[in-house]
Amino acid sequence: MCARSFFIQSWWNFEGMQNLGFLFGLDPWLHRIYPDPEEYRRAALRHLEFFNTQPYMVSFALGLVGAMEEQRAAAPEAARPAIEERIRQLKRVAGSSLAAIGDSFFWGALKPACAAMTILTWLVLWTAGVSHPLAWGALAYLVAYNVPAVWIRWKGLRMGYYFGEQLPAELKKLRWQSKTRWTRRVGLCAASALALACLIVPPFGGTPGLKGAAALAAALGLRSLGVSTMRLYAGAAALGLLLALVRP
Amino acid sequence: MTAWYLFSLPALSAGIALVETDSVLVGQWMLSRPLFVGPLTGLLCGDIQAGVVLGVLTELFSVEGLPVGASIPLNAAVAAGCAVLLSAGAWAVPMAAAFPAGLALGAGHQRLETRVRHWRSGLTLRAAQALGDGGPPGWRRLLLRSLGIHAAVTAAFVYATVSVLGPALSWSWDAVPAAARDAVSFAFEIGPWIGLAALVRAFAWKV
Repeated sequence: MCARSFFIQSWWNFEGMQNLGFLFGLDPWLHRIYPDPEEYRRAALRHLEFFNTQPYMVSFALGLVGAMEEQRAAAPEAARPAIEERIRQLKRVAGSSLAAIGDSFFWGALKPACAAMTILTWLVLWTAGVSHPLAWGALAYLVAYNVPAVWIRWKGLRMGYYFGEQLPAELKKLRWQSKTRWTRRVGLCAASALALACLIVPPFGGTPGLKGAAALAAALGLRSLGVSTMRLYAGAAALGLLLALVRP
Repeated sequence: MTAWYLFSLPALSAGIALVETDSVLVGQWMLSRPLFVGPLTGLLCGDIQAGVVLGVLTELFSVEGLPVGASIPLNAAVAAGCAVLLSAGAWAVPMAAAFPAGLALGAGHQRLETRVRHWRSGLTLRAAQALGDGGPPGWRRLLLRSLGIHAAVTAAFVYATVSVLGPALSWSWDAVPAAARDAVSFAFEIGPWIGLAALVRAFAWKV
């Protein structure tokens, strides 16, 4: 199931979003707890309804739903509709709650932090004359990002299965907010160090010194006013055209 | 030039399309980030420097894009791959022109991806139909269809756009007035600072 969670978004669509991917992840478990083909078929069809969450966090939902389905399979016939409804509700709530945690940590903090640290690593290793700076930087990115991402897929499956409806309380113990805050702080330090380093050693065809500092300050100011990166780039081209036209 | 169109460009387009599946469909190991796609494509094209510069710039410009819910951000892998193919490929488009062209193509791929995602809704119906008929959903066939169509569409998009834009940009770079060339070059010179501002802002307001 953990390996299958890597394919959770392989059938992403606008109507059911990760519905088919979720069923793909749960499929071996459903086959195991519902040996009767008709029971399996009905359970599988129930999981084709809308589902969406952050892809790394889906394992929590898979474990949780797996445990609930096991309860349903063991329950007497009269109690099953209530458990099915509970599964439906839990899936919906878990999907949105886990997405909020995962989006904030993985997309909003870890991804940009890894990018900042990798570019900084490349710059430092390249300036220091270390051989294969690109390979070292890329390796650092992949390890720093994928170790927590794969660990959480594995850990999430176990936690979801063992803690069941107690999962929200157990998730709090992982201190996501603190981890997200610290990752952002590390990322901000790396990004600031990178910006400073670029002012001293201008890479990527950038302009050095005061001109670069002025460009960075202007870009930061305009970004804080909500001007998008693409508009800033278009504005820079317009400014360049103006400068070229007024130049004697 | 014939070898470029018949062998190199199709192979590189297919490679970019395969790696691009990592961005949403399979794994999300971040192998499809421009930091990897750019240098790797540059290495294969024989100009790793262009790959690094364009890959890093595209990464900085796309770092704030969040694939949350139904939103489809700029396709960073396609943007970086196309920019490097334009610059380090047979037409040797200057980086100052290849970079914004890559960004435009990354944004253009969003529309294509939207259509493919609508098409994928039909796969759910197929699975439901198979289950309704009492059979297995046929995971292997469904997976190959979904990944195969997406990768084929992306590869065709990269091949077609780079084939057309390569000669067009290469020719127009010499044909346009010097002021337009200066404007594009000025924006490219300022680009790293705009990207760094985006990277810093990605953390600053949230800390």
